[in-house]
Amino acid sequence: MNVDEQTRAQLTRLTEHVEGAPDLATSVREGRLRRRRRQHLVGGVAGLAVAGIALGTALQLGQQTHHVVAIDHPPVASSSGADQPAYHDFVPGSDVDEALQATAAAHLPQLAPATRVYASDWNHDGPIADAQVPNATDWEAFYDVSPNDTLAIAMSKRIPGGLKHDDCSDIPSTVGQPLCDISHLSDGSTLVTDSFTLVEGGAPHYWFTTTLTRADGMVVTANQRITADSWPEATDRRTYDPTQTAALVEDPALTFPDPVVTPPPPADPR
Amino acid sequence: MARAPRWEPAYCAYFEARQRSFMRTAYAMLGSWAAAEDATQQTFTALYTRWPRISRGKTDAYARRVLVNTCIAVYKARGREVLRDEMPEPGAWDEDHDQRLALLGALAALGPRDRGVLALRYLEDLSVADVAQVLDLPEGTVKSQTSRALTRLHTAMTEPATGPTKGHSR
Repeated sequence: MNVDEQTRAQLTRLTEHVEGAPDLATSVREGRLRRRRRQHLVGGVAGLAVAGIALGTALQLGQQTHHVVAIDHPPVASSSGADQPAYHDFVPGSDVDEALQATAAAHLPQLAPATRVYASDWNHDGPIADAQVPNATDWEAFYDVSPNDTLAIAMSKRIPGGLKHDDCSDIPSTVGQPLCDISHLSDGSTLVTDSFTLVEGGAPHYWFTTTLTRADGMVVTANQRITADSWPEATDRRTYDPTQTAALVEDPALTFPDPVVTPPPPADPR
Repeated sequence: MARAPRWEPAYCAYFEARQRSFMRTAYAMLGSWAAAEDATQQTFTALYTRWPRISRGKTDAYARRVLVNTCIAVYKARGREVLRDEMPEPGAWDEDHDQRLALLGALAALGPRDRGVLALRYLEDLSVADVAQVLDLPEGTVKSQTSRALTRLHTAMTEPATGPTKGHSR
């Protein structure tokens, strides 16, 4: 028996009595959840690009014209401690949207005004009605960082019975792509820095994601979507590096109240 | 309630066809059935997430790459704790068990990527070219990694008292 055959026989013998098995229902359920979350964010960034540009332009024009942007409450102090500018009131009756914008601006220098911020829940792929905002389980903000760089920030409560989303969901598919990195922090949270490509409209887009799963299961994520022809070019064009987005998602100011009435978990969260 | 996606039955069939071999590969990389189950579960969840975008004919290569990378991530996250899951019960020692522990200990002496290469070559029975495709490496690199890993494995196997013990450190 040569070395190859011996090794094959040894490994076969070592692993022949399989103990345990993955659960198909769990993979389907969790996979559907992830697809839904991803489609949510991808749709939010890509699908809202045109509307976002229009909205952002209108917002900037409005700021230039009036120099005043309505807010619900004084902006929440962010970790920067600096004087805070006013932030657009996307969700009347709530100050979570302003707090989210203030915290993002504190960590990400030269951040343009958000193009859209809204409350949602795990049963919706977009904003929920204003009357339902107190029952929100998700908050999302979108930015056009540069012509080649869009940013989505999301805060999501853990779905009851759902698993924590604290692993790498994608793999390197292109030479030169950075590997996924997982860090377990001292407060029990997990930080995942990942990247992947998605083909949209026939062209690849490069995604850099930073996701913090807190000990209570709440997820805060910052996704940058870069238009480029290669990973090196995408990395060059990326406005914010993982250190900056990690500091953002780790900021405890990124939070919002538990829903007054918790919506039912998604029956088929596709 | 929304309908299941059209491709879901194909995914489910793939899951059933591959879950056992993926468990074996993950065990060879992690040395623990619990950790292998965790990594395999994560792998299939990731596959579901990306299933419609995986090129037909490349599913196996893609899935195995996810599995290997997930095992490496699990290994980094759980590290040395993984091997402690496999402590034998007192009195459970016999010659075969002894050999299995020696092999586990020898595998533990390798890096996770080396274990991945060995598992793909000798458990999944992939050719050098196929392993190169899975790991996105040149074939020459796969050959040299395999050779180096085999040498280390058999050196560790022939050393005395190589089986993992409580508090084993690498």
